[in-house]
Amino acid sequence: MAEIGCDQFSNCLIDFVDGDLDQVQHALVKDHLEKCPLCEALMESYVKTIFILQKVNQVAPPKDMAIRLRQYLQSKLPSSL
Amino acid sequence: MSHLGNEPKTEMSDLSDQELVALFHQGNQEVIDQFLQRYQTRVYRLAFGILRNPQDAEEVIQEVFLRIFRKLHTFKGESSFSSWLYRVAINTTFMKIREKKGTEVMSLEEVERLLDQESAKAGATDWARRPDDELLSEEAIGVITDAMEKLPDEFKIVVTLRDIDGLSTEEVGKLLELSPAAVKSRLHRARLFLRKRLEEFYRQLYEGE
Ligand SMILES: [Zn+2]
Repeated sequence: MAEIGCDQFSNCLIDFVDGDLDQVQHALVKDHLEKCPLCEALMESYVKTIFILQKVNQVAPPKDMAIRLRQYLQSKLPSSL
Repeated sequence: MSHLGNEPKTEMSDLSDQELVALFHQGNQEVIDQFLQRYQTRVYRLAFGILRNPQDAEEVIQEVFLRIFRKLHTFKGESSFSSWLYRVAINTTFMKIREKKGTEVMSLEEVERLLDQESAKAGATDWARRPDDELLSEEAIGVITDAMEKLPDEFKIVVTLRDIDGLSTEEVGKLLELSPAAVKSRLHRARLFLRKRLEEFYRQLYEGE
């Protein structure tokens, strides 16, 4: 079976993480990850970064925003809301 | 669920966007509230993701929905309601940026180069294996928030739509008129940039442990 190196790995990291690789490519990447702790650490921290990014940015709109938005629209739109 | 003898009652929340638009065309104004309920948080997060300021984001969302509802009677449905809404939201957000900043000077090429330098692979540290509640400290949240703010708008928008809002690469590409490859390239660079910032922070934090 063919093997991939660290450069090839970093080129397909995003596709691997986002699930866009075909079976063969996926297996090659997994194989490389088992042998290469550096790429494994890169992959794990990449995934964790996305996770943290998502967590931190699930911001709730300010309190009363919905009410202010509705009032604003009511004042601007001709028809009765 | 309909019961025998009862008129089956359709809840607004069960209707598709398309059905809501049709109702609006028939003069039903209640659909406005339904659309707001469905999309206001998402539009807020999109605007906030780029502007990083609650007040600006709120002004944008007011502007966005006003435009949408003013034009909804002419909406023919060539694209889906949500992609129309997103497009208006993106344009309005970028108008807000321009209004606040004047003209941007950094070229995309410059930015890409900067990000590539920034993101050169660092040594292996296994901070990513630490428990999530440990990683999500207030300081770490500050680090990623700052890093997000530093990210150029072209990258911020891609990260916000793709990673925070969860749209697909294709959807993001359509909205921003970019090829899927261009979306991926920006997304990847942005993620590497943010990863680098986090890694610097955690490495220092866990140094000598
Ligand atoms: Zn490797």
